[in-house]
Amino acid sequence: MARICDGDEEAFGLLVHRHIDALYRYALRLTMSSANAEDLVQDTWLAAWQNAKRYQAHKAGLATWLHRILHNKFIDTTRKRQPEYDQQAVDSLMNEVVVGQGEDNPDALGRLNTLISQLPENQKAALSLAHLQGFSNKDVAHILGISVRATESILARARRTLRKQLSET
Amino acid sequence: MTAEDEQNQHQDQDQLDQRLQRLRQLQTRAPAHLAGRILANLPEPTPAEQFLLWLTTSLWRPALAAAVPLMIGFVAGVFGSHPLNDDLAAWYSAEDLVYATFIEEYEHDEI
Repeated sequence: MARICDGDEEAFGLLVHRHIDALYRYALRLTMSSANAEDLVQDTWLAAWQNAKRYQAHKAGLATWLHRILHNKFIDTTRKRQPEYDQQAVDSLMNEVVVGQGEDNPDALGRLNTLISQLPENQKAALSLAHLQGFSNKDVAHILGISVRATESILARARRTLRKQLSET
Repeated sequence: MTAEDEQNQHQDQDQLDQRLQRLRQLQTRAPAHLAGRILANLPEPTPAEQFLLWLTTSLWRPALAAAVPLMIGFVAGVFGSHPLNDDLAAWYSAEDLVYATFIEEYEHDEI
């Protein structure tokens, strides 16, 4: 990170390659549009490059910091424009299921993917970060800018909704 | 809530956890061109930003930058050419001339 602060593009390139997939996945979940997800990820990296000096390792991990930037960028952009729904993005998420080797019940996972995409914004974000991106509740709270208790409450609500809808089908 | 309901709820919960876990293992990858696009579009820092970056990287650099005008002033003070510095005799003669002029004017005023 110190090298990036000194303007080292090579070090920045390594960082991009290490975290781009996770950021793209989260962006895709939030925007449900592959074009918007790409723009969002690009804006995130640009902000990270320009604000590398502001990163404080003692406050949050690098992945947490990057996801927080992405989440804030998402909020800024969705305030400016109407969300677009893109079948390609949904297909891309569904492909996860199809591509999964040895999957015993791909339909069930596809259904779960759809249900997650239909959750309210904050529940979808919290659930994606905690259960699909692998962040701790503390990190999720940091990324979303809310308390840990609020995060736990949102996660519980999201799980309850999913459980209920899954049991109905 | 009956024991059966409770058991069903636990089962649903376990099932959801398993599916979420499975979903987590199946990873969508970013498009191959995206990393290249990001790196190609990084803004080049302006000369002012480059200087600021250079200045703030190490502690000795701002100290050096602050000392530079001081050093320039010192060098100019010591080695800078003053017309009278070149010849000390000329300096004294000029001083005498000023003194003589002053005395003369003073005497005229007295008269």
